[in-house]
Amino acid sequence: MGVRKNARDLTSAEKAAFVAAVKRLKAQTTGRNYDWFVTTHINYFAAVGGVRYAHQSPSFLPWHRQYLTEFEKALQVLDPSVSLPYWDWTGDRTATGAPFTADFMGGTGAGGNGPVTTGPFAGATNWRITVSASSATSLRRALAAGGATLPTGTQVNRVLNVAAYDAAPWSSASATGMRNMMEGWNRQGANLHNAVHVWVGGHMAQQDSPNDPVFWLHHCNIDRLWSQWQTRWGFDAGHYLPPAGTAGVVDLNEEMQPWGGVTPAAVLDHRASYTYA
Amino acid sequence: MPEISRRDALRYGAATVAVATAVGGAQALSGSGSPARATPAHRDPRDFTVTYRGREITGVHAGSGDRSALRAGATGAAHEVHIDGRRLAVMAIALPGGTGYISALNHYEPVLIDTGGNQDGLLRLARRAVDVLGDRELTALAGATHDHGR
Repeated sequence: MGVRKNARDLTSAEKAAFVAAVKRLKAQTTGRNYDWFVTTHINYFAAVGGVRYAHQSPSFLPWHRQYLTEFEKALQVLDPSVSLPYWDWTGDRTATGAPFTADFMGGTGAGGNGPVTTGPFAGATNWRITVSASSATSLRRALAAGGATLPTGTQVNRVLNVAAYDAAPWSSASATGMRNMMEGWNRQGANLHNAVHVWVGGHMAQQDSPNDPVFWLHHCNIDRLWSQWQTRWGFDAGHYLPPAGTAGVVDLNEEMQPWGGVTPAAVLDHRASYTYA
Repeated sequence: MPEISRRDALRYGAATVAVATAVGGAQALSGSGSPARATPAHRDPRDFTVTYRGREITGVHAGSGDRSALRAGATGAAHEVHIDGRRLAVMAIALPGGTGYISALNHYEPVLIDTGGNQDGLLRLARRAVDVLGDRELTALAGATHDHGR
């Protein structure tokens, strides 16, 4: 069983191992390589076959839980010691602190919105962007630019205090329910997930956001927050909605594409597979 | 003067001079300082051709009466944005308070367009896209429309 740690608590060796595995997956030319993960997120952000799988729907959380697991497994094929770390942006809130240090994710972009200049992912030679809405071949960031702010611990608590998992119309229009506040389309009171993408900026603000490796640390934290919500309210099937019979979204026992036979029910209790430190 | 601006100066030169003093609304539209080079056909504040950070951005709002700025193949039924002539698909997204819009460049920050005091929404979306794009160009992926539902 894996233990996913706070990025700030990783040893130098653990950081180096994670970076090396990510780069090996990027260099892989066949199968589910890094760019396959980028493309898959682009394809499933929007509705596929009339069903919203990855975003703007109840399966936002279980779909990304499986997405993280698939990515983590792909890394572990290359280095069995690696687990995904998480970035707790309620504690690490600066453009120069963890995880944006030169020995891990690297810092912000040149001139505020240009190419990242420090760390192992700086420059197209170290990390080449190939699938993107922008012609930039180097990773770009604009940390904290344009007045963007990170969510606070108070806002996180506001979301975790919401008892209902989700609510009709089970979309980005849901005015109540934990999921749409966590995802951030419902901005009344809190916007967690979306606001962090905007705060990082550059590729993280784009449709092709997994091009920035910090994507995995951010989504690992979102998964951790969902786990905290489950710890409080329940890991059981009764704490996923909707249970059945809802068109356009993934019900409890329906399959999440492209993850084969994996249903939301199958991933609700993750504790036998991994835990959070 | 950048290449794009020089070309447009030739294309829109006469009209620019004509409207520079006459169309105050177009000036107010570009809140961040770039003067709007509006043609007489662009009097609706939801349609624009402006230079922002050295990039030419054009916008035609859905259902605009001005079809002259639409590119070949565009129906006018959806919001159209181009940055230096390259298409940026604008996609509707349902929000608790109404319909917002996102693009491939600003995928996590919907803006309201057309409703209430948001007549400059399409321009704000286009400017934010330029902010993210920096000195790069849009790819074909940015021009592809996806169904995000409303």
